Amino acid sequence: MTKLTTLTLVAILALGTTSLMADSTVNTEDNTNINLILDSEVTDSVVGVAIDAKDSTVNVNDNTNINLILDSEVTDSVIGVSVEAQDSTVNVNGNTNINLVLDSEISGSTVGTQIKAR
Amino acid sequence: MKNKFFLLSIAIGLSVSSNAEVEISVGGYANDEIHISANSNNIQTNSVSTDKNGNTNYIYVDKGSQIIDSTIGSTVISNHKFTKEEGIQHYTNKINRYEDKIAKYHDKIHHYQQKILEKPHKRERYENKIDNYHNKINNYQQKILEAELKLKEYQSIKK
Repeated sequence: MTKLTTLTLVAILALGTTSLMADSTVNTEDNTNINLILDSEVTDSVVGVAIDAKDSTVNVNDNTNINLILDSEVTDSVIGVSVEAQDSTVNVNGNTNINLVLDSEISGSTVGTQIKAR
Repeated sequence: MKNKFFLLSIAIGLSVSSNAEVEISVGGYANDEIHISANSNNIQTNSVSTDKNGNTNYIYVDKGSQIIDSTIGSTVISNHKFTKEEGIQHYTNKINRYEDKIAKYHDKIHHYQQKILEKPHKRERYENKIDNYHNKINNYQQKILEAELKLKEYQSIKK
């Protein structure tokens, strides 16, 4: 999943990159992720990069993440990068995150990076 | 691991925060080095690191936006378990948020019902919108039921 450029444009719901890993090393490095959510509603979702890892090493390094939310409603969701890890090592280094929220309502959500270590 | 734990938090309702690189406090932690090891009660073990010098967060939230029970930037949740009071507060807030949304959708339905009277030739279009809002209401009613179950769980915890 290295050196990937993603552009996610959400009308209703679009999902960028999803990885489910076990007993692995997950490298998400040198990516550019651009998530544009325009005049939309996003509920119970991840828009951007989702990594679900177990017994793994997860490296989320040197990425550029741009999240623009305009005229939208985001509920119980993650916009950007979501890492859910169990029995894992998670390294998040060297990333640049740009988050713009304009005329929107965000509730119960994370815009940017969320790491859940279960 | 010498990297400092570095994240960004934002106050709810903050109107502008750009070029922000702010040391975070998630759940009250702001340490030079953080290992999150959730192995006190079971075998789960996790280690999470972020690099102060590496990660940069730029944030802009305009005045027209609402941020409710959310994080703009980064958040780390390490096998966190609520106390009884925290759980009750968390799920009560959720239920209130969902009820607010339902009320808002009822207002929208009323709005489009009026539009049908004003512009009957667009009835089908408006009825589709109304159906959509009814679906959203049903969805949030289901979420309220789920949150109420969790709320009861926390309310039943004995100190």
